[in-house]
Order: sequence, then structure tokens, then C-alpha cells
Amino acid sequence: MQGEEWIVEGNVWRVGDNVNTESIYSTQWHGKKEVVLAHLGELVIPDFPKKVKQGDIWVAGVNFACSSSRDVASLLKEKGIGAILCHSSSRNNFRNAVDAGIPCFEIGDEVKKISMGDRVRVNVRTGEIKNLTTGAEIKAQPYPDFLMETLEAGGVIPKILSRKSEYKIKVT
Amino acid sequence: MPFTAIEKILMNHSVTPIDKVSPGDFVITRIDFTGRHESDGKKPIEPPGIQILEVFDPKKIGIFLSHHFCIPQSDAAAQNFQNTREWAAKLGIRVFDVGTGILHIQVMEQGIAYPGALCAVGDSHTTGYGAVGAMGTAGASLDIWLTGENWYRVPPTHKYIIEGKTRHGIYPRDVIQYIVGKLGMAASVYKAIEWDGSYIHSLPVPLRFPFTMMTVELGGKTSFIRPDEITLEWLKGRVKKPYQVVESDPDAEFEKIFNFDASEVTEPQVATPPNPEHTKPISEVLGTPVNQVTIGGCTGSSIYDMRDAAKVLKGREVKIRTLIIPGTREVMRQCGAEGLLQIFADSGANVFPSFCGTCQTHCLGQLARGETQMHCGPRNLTGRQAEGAFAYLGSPATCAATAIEGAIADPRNYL
Repeated sequence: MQGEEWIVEGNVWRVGDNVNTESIYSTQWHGKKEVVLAHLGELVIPDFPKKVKQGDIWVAGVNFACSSSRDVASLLKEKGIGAILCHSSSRNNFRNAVDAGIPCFEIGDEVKKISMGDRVRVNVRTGEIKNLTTGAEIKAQPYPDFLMETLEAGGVIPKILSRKSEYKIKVT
Repeated sequence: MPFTAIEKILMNHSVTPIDKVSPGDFVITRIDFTGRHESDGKKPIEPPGIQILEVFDPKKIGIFLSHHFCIPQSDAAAQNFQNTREWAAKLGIRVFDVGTGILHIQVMEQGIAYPGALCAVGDSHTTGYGAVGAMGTAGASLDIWLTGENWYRVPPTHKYIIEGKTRHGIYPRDVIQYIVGKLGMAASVYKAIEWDGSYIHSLPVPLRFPFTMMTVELGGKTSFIRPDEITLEWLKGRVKKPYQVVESDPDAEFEKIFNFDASEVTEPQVATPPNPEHTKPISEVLGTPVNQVTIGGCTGSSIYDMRDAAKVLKGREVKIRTLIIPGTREVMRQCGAEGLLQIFADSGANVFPSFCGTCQTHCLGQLARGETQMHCGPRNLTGRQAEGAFAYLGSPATCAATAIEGAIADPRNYL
């Protein structure tokens, strides 16, 4: 993807502060991925799992995906979410997002300029964010190059596969 | 230039020698230990298309089939566990099998985490290793298993100083709950929390676990407590290798400092639904009906917690379903030696093999819609038990008193 722009443009699914991982991916669905995907997020936004579209954007307040380290970033990506924007992310979610190859930008109070249903465009390489509904422009800190490389590869696993000779693995 | 303990641990583990770091910097480190528990084991350990031929160092990796599950609860789980055992044996990785207990407490009890060590383990309560002066963070992705290397964004450090002594009937689990209630779950998002003060340093190591484990309930990335004589004495015979204690420089920069006195906690504290920051003094929730009590979990299953619960339960009978889950085999054996298991059995409580309890109802202790449990684990958030079921959190003594009355009860009436 070197040289090409990485743009995510979609509609916003907005949640508030301190949304915990289990309220997105509840323990009661554990172990059955198709069940998890069918219900993902419905405890915080009832319509989300049925109506989310490819390229939509998940926007959260303070301390997004706090509590357990279960990986909601990869599941949101699997449901079609193209980028996560939040006031601040739990450390576990910041890491899970890189590992899953989904950008997660922490934008502090600027997140208040984004509401449920807004149309937002994110330039993942530069961190430039535009709320197309309101016109608001936000600048996020871009990822350092070595993490951008993982994100562009699609996450840790695709990155390992793309450099398989460097690891003691067998590709089956 | 002065550094915090966490900054020093990251520098000491940097793959390329560095002599300074600042918050926000990225550091590539070589870690001392990684591992994962069985919840991850339910997913293919090797992602589709990849077979691991060799890990970076099998002695520095652990698989814990004992953390969320005390025993396989279905045929499918039993098969998953067996697949994991066979897979681990091929790679030479140690398996901590069912019944051995809570991952993080085993890591500390068995000297796998030690002062100055850097550990990356797939569970959010890996923050707990600060209790022995190590740095623990969650996350253990495939690249770490293959290379032993892990990237970190250096966190700023918040210092929480707790001085003084607690009042009668107030336990460490009440003190940390009070702090979470007072400051909220976003008090220290992405920060390292260094716990300090005369109160913290007076506690035996296992009673420091509630603070270092619940660091993540304050938003923290990792925790640290300067190893003192109590720590070093507790680690004797546990750590099998030489280590160097790391501590923050006296003039290290802390982004924020919070000061507390343990005596300001005037009543036992209870976290109410839907999350741990909804904390109330017990007088405001007395008499709330409860259907099930669990005494266990990473913040309530040490031998000290078991003794506190037994003191309340001795010679009394529980009124509701009561699960007692000593955190590890070491704690279970000690409960036996001290006669606590007899007290629990006599009270009508049920003792279960060591694991992390009903803080998430993965394995047992599931609730029906509308039911309420009380436990002394770290969390009561939405989604950790059945939809429409609720959890309250309190100290092991509060949980024991609640079991006796079948409703939230003040342990001070039983001490």
C-alpha cells in the first residue's frame, strides 16, 4: 500500500465514556464466534450488529474498551468497522487494534465534534479526520512507521505471513 | 536524568541499548515471560495457515488451563484443553493444568515474575505483577511467542500514596474499592500506577494484589510497588534466579500524585451495578437481596482473604448459594492446614477447585435473569454475567456476612 492513500469513510456509531469490552462482547456469547458477531455491540447500541456497514466508524469517549483484554477491535473490524476514534483508549484496546490491523486514533476532547450518524472521513496515514456532516476538521497523531507497517499489513498475523522466512513457522 | 521504575524496566529490556526514555516514546523490548490462558485457547492457538515450529524460549512461556475454568465444563472444552496440552508438549511449553489456580497469582507465587522483570501475558489483570516489583501488561500475540520481543509505548506514571491504618472491619479490598469509587474508572487511562505509602508497605504481598490487579479498573496500563523487606522475604524460595530490584529515582517525575489515608475509609465499601466506580458505603446498600456469594477471584482469594471469610463464617450457617474458591493450590493447601476448609464446609458453603471465580461466569456459578451475586473479584461490569443478572463487589468479610444473611450485610457485626 506504500504510496497509496488509506482512506476510511463511513457513518458513525457513537458510544460514551468507559465502555467496557464485555458490554460489546458479552461473556454469555463466549466461545461461539458466529453468535458473538450476531450480537456484537447490541448491549450498547441495539441496532449496531444488524445495521453496521463496511467502512463505518466506531467513535467512543474516554477509556474506550476498558476492563478485560478481550479483543473487540478485531471483531469490530470483522463487522465492517474501518477505524476507531476515541477520546482515549484502554491500553489493551490500543494494542489489540494494532494487532488486528484496525486504526484506533485517540483525539481527546475533539471527539465531542462527532455524533451518532455523522459521516466521517479518516486519512489513516496522516491522521487527518473530517466530519463531513458538520465540516469539523480534526488532526490526530499519526502512528509511528513501525506500527503503520503492521496496520497496513492487516495486523500481526498477515505481517508475520508476509515475512515468513524470518520466523520459525510453517505455512500450511 | 531521573526515571520512574517502569521507565527503568522498559529501558533495561530494550533490544537496542538506550539510556533514556520519556512518556510517549516507543521501545522495542525483550521480555522475560509471556503466556496465555484457556479463554484464548478456545481460539486456534495457531491461526489458520500457520504452524509454529519453534517459540523464542519455551521456558519463558506458560499456558494456563486453570484461570477461567476450574475444570472442563463440557465435552468440547475438554477436547480444547487436550489439544492445547498436546500442542504445548510438542513445543516444550509448560502447562499449568486445571485446578492449579489463578494465572497471575501463580506467576507471582512461583517466582516467574520477580523484581525488575517484564512480563506480557494475555489477560488484563497482568497489571498485578507490580506487587512483586515487576512490570506486567496484557497482550501476548503470536509475534511475541516467536521472537520474545514486544513493543511498548512508555506510559506516564501516576503515584497513589496511601498512608495510615484502616479502621476495624475495613480491609484492603475496601480501600481499593473506595479509591475506584472516588476517582472513577478513567482516573489513570494508559498510565502506570505506582502504589506507595506506609499503608501499602505495611501489607503482606498477597494483600497488595487488590491494588495492583485493580490498577486496570482505574484505567492503568501497568502497576508497580517498590519491593521492600516484606516483598523480598515473601519472594525467598520462590524466585530461582538472581534479580536486581528496580525502583523509581527520588526525583522521578510523576504526572499526577494522589494522596489517601486508609483511615478515611469509614465503612466497608460495596461496588454496585453496572461497574466498579459505582461504589457506595455499605450503610447505603444494607439489606439488598443477594442470591449467590463467591469468595475468591484475583482480588479476594489469598490465604488472608480466606482467613477473614472463615472468621465471619465460623460457627454460622450460610443462607444462600456460597462458593469458596481459594486462588491457587498453595492457598488451598494452607486452608486445609489451618482448618479453614472444615469451617467452610460446616457453614454450608461449597469449596471449589482453584480458579478465578464468578467475576465472569465462564465456568460455573451462572446466574438466572434477575439474580444477583456478590463477590470479591475486581469487576461487576455489564456483560460479565447473564443479561439481566447483576453483581455487587465487597471484601471477603462483607461477602461472608452477606452469605449468612442472604442480603448485603455489614461484616463488623460478625467480628
